[in-house]
Amino acid sequence: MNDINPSAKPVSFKLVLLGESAVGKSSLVLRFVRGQFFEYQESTIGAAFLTQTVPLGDAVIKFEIWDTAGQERYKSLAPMYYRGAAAAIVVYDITNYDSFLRAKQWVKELQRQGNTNIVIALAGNKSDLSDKRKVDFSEASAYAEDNGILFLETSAKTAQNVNEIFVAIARKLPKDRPITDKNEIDNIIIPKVGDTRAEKPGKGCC
Amino acid sequence: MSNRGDKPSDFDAFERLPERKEPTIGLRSSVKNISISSPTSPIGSPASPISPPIGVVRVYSNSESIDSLNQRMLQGNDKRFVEWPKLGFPDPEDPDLRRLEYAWKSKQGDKLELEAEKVWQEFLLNSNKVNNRQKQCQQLIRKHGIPSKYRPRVWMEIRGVDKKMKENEGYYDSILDVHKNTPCVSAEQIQLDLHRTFPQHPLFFENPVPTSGRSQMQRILTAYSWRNPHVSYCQSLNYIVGILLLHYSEEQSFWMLVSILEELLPANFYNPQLKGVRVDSRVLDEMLKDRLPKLHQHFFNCHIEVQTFCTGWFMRLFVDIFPLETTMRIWDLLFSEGSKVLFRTILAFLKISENDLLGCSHMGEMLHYLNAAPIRQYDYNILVKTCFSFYSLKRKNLEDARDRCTKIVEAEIRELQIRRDAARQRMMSMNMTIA
Repeated sequence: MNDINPSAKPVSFKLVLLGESAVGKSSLVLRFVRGQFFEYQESTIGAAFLTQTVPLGDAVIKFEIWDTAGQERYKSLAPMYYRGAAAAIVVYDITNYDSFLRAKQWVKELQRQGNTNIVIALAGNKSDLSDKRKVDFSEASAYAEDNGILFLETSAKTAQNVNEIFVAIARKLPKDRPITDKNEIDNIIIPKVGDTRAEKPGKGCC
Repeated sequence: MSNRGDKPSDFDAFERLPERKEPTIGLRSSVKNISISSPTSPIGSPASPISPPIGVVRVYSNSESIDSLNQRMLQGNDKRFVEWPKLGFPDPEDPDLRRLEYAWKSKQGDKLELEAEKVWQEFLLNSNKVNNRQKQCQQLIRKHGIPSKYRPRVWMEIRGVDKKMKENEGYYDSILDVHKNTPCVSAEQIQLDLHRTFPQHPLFFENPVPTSGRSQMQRILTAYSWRNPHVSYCQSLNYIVGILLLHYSEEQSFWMLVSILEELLPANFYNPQLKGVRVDSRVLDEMLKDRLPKLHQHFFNCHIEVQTFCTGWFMRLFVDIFPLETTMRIWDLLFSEGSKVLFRTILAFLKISENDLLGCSHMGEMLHYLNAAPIRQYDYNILVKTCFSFYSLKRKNLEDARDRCTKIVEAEIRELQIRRDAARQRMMSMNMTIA
């Protein structure tokens, strides 16, 4: 992750993580962004925002990640976070079959309501707990294939396939970043006359 | 096993206050001065950032956990367990934050806390009940906050929770007892969150053995779920109960939670659609547009909806958003002045940060700032001063704004439901066609 071509200007993409409570969404992101893992990861309230860059050939992809809360009632907030997202990782826990069913619902919702070209990846997390497995690899894999989405089993604990899933997404993203999403078009801002702040060269933050 | 063997006489401790130099903290709470090997040093004494000298440590906790706390402290494991201003939380991992925290505490924090203690001691010696001098109490809270040694008592009294507990003696035990053989609809989610709530705090440790804080939290959240099945349990209440348990016994914490959810915040704040939170997020957006129009426009230009970041701030009542003592100062104001303090706080923080935020050139940069800056806001004085200095917020205006935004959110909820129903219909008809 550190070997980034300094001359390449990062292309930013919004990515959202969705999935049932305690399947390991935040752990996946923390492993990807900071290389850390905590056995007792605090539960996410609302959503957390993180970024990470991925070098990909000559290009540098910058993921702007919204890690959402998993409890059912937070579902009502989800559209705010997946609106205009270029990619989504829908996470389930391989030791919890219900979380797989919930993941399928999220995939459906994204396909219906999300960005038309959204790249969706399904992550069967906690692959280190395979002795407690309740979701067959083959079942999830077949589901992903039928729905034309990426699929990997991951482990935030051992880091297995964590970078890989983000890289796989990065490979599928359009590098020239065309605007295809209806919502995104709706959201284009026309700067007010006299507003000189619309575009300023990048500046270090906090 | 809970510690709910209530002794009504404990309430009398409040009534006897004028005779006491140092008032008790609350029902069944204890204040103990425990001498640890090093020489006595007052709260205000400067300390090294690595190992602050510990002299007199005030223990505010309930009777059930007090023994284990004492034991831990005497073993020297958690010497700072309940020392102001960290309430037992470990130092921040980030060395930069550790430096900031130490600098704030030694330069200003300790001094301000001691000043506040003096002022409050005098005030409390002259008041049987803080509510008898409500206006003065409110002014004191605005000016000094509540020193942590008096916080449990004052919060309870200004919310009338002491009275409510007296009126409902036995309620907490009975609500758990009545439902003990019925599965709670939120049991699974509560269980999931227990080990994910302040895992770094000794009261909530899992290892080497699960500590009492967890079972207390589980019972409080379950009891509330039975009391109010409509709200049941919402993630974030675990953090609020966690903070309450650092100040109160189990039953007191339950009643404080009841007061927060049923009197302080709008009734539907944590309901299954999070309607109240969404309404208040919209209200905040309106206020921001009105009070800080330049910044509001900048959020808009950077494609940031205010709701994306403020929702979590509202729901957590700022726990873990600001440093603990700053959050506790906000809670002082919240309990004293009501839910409009939530708006005042966010607007004040954005006002303080306005120039920095206007200097951020794109979404990622702004969101990073909003992630990183609040937790560095050790200087609660400037935050509180700004809360009350740059605009007025009338209760009536807030109510009107909430009414207006409720209509918008209700329309959104209806629209989303229609879309989800239509999609379900499509799926069903597709399945029928395939069949």
